Amino acid sequence: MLTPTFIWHSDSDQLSALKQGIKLAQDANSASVLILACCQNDYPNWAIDPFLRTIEIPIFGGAYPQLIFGESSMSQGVIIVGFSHTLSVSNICQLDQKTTYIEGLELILENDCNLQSHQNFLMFYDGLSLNSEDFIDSFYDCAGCDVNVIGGGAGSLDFVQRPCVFSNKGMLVDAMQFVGLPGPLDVGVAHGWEILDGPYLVTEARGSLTVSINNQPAKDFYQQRVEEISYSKFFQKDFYDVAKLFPLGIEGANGEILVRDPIKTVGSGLQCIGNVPVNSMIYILKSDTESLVAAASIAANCLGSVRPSVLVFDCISRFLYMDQGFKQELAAINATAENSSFVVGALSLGEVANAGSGAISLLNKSTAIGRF
Amino acid sequence: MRAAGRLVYLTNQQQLGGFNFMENKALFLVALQHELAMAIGNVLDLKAMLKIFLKVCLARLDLRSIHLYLYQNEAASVVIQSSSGVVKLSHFLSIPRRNGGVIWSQCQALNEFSALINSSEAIVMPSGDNFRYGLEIPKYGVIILEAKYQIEPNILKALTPILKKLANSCYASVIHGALLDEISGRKRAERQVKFQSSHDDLTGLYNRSYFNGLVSCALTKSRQSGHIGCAILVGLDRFRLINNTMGHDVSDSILVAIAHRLRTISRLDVNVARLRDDEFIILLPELGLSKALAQPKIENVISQINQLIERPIYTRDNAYQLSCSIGYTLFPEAEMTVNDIIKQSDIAKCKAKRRKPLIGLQYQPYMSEELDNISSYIHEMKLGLKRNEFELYYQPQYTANKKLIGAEALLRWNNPSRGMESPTKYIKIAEESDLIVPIGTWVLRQACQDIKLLEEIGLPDDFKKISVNVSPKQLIQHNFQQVVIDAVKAAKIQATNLGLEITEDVLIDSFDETVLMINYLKSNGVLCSIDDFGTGYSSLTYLKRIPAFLIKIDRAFVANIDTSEENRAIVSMIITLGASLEMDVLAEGVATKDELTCLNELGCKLFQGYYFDRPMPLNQFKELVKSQRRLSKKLHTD
Repeated sequence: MLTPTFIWHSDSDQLSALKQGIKLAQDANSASVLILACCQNDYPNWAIDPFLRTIEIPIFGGAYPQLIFGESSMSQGVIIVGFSHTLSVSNICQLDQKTTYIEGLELILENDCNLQSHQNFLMFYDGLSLNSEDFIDSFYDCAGCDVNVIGGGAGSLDFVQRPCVFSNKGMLVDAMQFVGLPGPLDVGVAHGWEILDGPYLVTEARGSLTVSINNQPAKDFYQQRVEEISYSKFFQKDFYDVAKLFPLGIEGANGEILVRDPIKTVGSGLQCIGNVPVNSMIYILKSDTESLVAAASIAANCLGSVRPSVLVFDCISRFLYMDQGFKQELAAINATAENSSFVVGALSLGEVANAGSGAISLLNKSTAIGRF
Repeated sequence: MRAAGRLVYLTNQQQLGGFNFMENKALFLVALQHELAMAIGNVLDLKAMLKIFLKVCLARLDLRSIHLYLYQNEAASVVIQSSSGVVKLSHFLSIPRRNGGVIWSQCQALNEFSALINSSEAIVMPSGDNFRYGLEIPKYGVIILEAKYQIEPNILKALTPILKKLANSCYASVIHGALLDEISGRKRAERQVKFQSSHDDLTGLYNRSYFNGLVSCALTKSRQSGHIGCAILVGLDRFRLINNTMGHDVSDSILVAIAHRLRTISRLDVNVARLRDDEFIILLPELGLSKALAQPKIENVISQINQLIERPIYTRDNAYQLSCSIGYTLFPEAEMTVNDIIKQSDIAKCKAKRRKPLIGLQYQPYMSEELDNISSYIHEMKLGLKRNEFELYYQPQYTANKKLIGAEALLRWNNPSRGMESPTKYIKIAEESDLIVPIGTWVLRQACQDIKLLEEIGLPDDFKKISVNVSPKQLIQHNFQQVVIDAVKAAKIQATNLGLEITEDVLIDSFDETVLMINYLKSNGVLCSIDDFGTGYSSLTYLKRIPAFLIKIDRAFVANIDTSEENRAIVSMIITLGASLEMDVLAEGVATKDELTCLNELGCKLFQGYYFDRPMPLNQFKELVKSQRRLSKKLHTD
């Protein structure tokens, strides 16, 4: 079992705080270090990379819109967790250049990621990489059934792509990081969204950009339907202020809904986090604080209570949706985390976990909890 | 591609929002079918096409894993079920690839399940917490879906037309694959033909005709730029011996190794070609505007070549250490052609073969003159052989008390215009030009005929044999033994009256083969002696295995033996060696009484040299034989 040797957090947004945390972790004989930081921290580019390169033990983690520390959320600062094991960390960079070569991508996964040495992984990746879902699918293909994963997309809420994955080579952009765990990982996942309207047919799409729905421009169709079935109006509002309340859902053969968050409009299309396939049947979803919290509670309850570390990836849009109600979600998660050494996590741009089918999937607007 | 294939009845959005549950279910099935159908045939490569389809199935059907078993022939190529030959349903593709770290093709339960699927009706089999569904892909194989939930029958039914479409796409991909194979095979063949037209089959180096083109270009450029170029010809020394004795497999592998090494010469613009069997040629263009600039570069490359070739070459059973002779020529000279360049470097290489300079030998015009002289000399020798200008002289061999025990046949050439030629000149040229083989055969036959004449007049009691020198080039002729036996039979002589003298060097180069040959001749009555003993490097272990009857001490050790302690020590050792190997020992070149006395004291019992007799014509030797015979009879009578 992977034993945490050190847990520390700071509300300071200064690089000195990160340096201090790393030094303390090393002083506590940590062999590997998880770094969760807030995007809005003031880490100058010219200083952060040289510092990270000086760290001699493996580091991993990401910069997220917000962090979770116990029952609190943090909009600035850093969380450092030290572990007794030297963990195997693999980084794949420049994802945008690799997707056209699926076989090459699989070779990288096979050769560089110690896939056959581990059954359980943490995954940190650039949530704004357009190809992240292809990599996640390929990861499942290469890693195999019975491999458990939990992870979350890093990056900032302004949806501008910047370096956001911590590594011993510096901060990485457009990158994916796999951390092999030496022991078991239990994963719980849920979203709490339900069908409001639909179904509609996706008639044109390119990856995560939905171009048309029911043969109409996706943006117009979506806005029109949302305005018709709710009191919300997109006029004079930021698109996501409304869209965060009405995500899209793709219905699977087992009845499960795969949530896709339309984060912005691109031309007349809708940009989601994760792919929306052509010819898939989609719905407009709705939820409320009570349902979301209940779902988080279900995700947390399906984990055992033996393993000491609890890592949460909760979609940032849930926080944006619930606002003050989000404390209830954190309370629900922590309520089931008895016997744990810590509950830490991040509010992410997309979550990665084993879906109900067992396959590793890119999720949106979900709560994914890992206990290891 | 992705936007194509829209569903006609979904164009009215008013219909979509208000479907009831049953309608939604039907819509789901149609959308599912359409999405899966759209995932088929996007690429022509079979595996890639199937992989895309499986990935979409995995996602849309919420599967844990998905597997394809396809009919494959003995070459593991996907074929239609009804194909002729051995066709087997075998695992083809799974997503994900492994289950609990083990690849799916090793999952016996899955393999067994695949064999049960034989209709478009899905069959189901629980597997732990999961359910496996098997469906047929008509004529091509089966697909297995593994899910954590029970897939509704109407969803499975909806897959039937999809799998028919998949089968059609498999057909298209298989045909496409076959076409691609054929096209790539043809392209490969074209590439090969193109490569073969410019490269040597064995070594992969450029061949002569392509190299000529490169030299032509370099020559033109040199004339334009004024830069000096160079062609270096490398000939492997004594390589034919390896070829003839060790066989083509060994010699080919050595040539390949040499070619591989020559490719590593560290100049970017170097071009290497195989000119002939054991000859390589290297083109160095643009070496500088003066000879002073070019010369160090040439010497650097020659030094590299020497180092590359001198390194031992290891074949499966042996190690070979080779040397080479290097000649080169510079260009451009006025009115020089490509052929001139290659010819001149060849001439310089031939010259270098004799001198062995470490830095190679540059072509000079006098070399051509010398070569012309040698060519006309060889021509004269050939004519001489035809015109019977050669004859055999015999130098008698004696015991210490001057009993005639045999003679060595020595070739003499009575040139009509120049008189008696020196054997040191024509034997060397004959050796180098391969003319030694027909000359050697003539010597053998003539010696046998002379022996016949001697037999007719009667040989003295102690007379053992007439010995004939055999050149290494004769020995490596595949039919040499037969030539000897035929000569003996043709002359109708006692085979025991003929002996062959071979040198140590021959033994070193091809020991096993030579020993076999000596044994064969011995079994037919023709014994061999080891000539010029002491000049080679025979090890005792080797000597013990040579079935020779006589060791001939080289004249270099006999000369001044009475005054040279070193020679005495060597000869003493050879005599002891002969005794331990049960071989007779004969000293060659005995010139003085003091040398004879000394040799006698050391235990040598057989002699040949000017002290006793000079080489003499057959008639004179016949007289000697007669007188010895008379003497021997008289001794018997007395």
